[in-house]
Amino acid sequence: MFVIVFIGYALLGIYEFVPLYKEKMWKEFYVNLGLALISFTVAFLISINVKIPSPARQFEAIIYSLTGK
Amino acid sequence: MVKITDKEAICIVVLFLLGGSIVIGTGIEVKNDAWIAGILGIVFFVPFALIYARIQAIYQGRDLFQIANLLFGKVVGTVIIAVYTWYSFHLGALVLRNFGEFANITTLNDTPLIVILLSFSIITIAAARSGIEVIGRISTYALPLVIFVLVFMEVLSLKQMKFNYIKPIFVNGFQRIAEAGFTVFSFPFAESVVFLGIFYSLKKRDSAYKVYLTGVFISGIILITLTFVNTFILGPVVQDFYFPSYSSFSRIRLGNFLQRMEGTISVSFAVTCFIKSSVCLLVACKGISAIFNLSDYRFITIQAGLIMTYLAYIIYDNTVEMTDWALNIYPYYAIPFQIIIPLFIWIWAEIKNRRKDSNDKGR
Repeated sequence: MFVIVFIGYALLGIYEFVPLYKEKMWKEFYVNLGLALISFTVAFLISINVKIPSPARQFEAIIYSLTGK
Repeated sequence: MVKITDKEAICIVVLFLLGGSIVIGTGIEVKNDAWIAGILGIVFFVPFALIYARIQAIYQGRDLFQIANLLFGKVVGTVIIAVYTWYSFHLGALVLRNFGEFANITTLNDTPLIVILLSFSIITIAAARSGIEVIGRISTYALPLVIFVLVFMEVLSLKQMKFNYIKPIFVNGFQRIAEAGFTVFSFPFAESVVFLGIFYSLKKRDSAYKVYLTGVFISGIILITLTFVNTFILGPVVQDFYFPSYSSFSRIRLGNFLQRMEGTISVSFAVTCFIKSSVCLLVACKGISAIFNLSDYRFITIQAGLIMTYLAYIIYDNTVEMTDWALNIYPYYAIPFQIIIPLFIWIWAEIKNRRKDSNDKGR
């Protein structure tokens, strides 16, 4: 499964980053690179069946503590 | 600058408000009184629709992110932008998950959820990348189709309806119904706060009032009609279904030749969820590009869309958790985004606007 993730992101990298690099749009390049790193990390973790904690639980805990329900 | 007509904007608002809410139902916690909760939800929302429209009217041609920077300066403005970027991002993920869960449970049982979500997000990303004018044009074609399918299914299900299921009225007590009304207010109506991120593209200053009020009125009628149908068909057990509308329409039987029609309703679910998640992704991308001062939001749509999809995948463990979150947690979670911050922005915008007016008169 993670092989598909690697191939998919390699192709996406060529499609997205090469034009930005050629155009020298460095701000767009680095912001996109940051997002791509987050996206790739999560995709890789999902592909190797790592359970990622959901942010919904944290919000749930805060709301329960505020409303007292 | 990109402009959309009022008609396109109304169609986007209607489809946006129906997305998700027609899949998991609204106000179902008060069973046969859900229609009253629906009406209360609209009544609660109208003042906020006017507030959102007023903010847009004061700063015509600017989006929420520019308004936040103008009103509060760089630091506080960036915090508000980040908050709304997160909200639209999260909302988009919730909608994606609603539809993914629906497709997974009803039709694609053996398909992994991530595959359904990724397939759905491809068109969402494509739409967000194409921009609001394309989403507007899709909506003008899609809304008649959605309404036709819903009306057609409602007419076909007339034979299965038992009108006495509506009684006894007000059996749940006013407080519980009002609480359910608040749930309907926050999901779906007040979610339209994200439109502050894209309604800079409206042509006239007063368009926002017309778009918000007409959009809420049309979607409200559709939602309340659907709530009536669900109550008439499913009766007191309406709360026991994850997807009440789908379950209602699955009961259509006209002789032996017209049955199992529920697949048709999935078209409406898909279209509305697609428009809603596209709008959310578009606003989230605009927010990110406003924070980092990028030249165009389109450069980051693919990666942001993928992260939104993964968030949709990890956010809940199962359907029970999803429904519980939507009905019990979400209304409280959404209060800062839908009520507190817009009120704060509106009051500050009015003060600044009046000061500007009095300064202009003084000269």
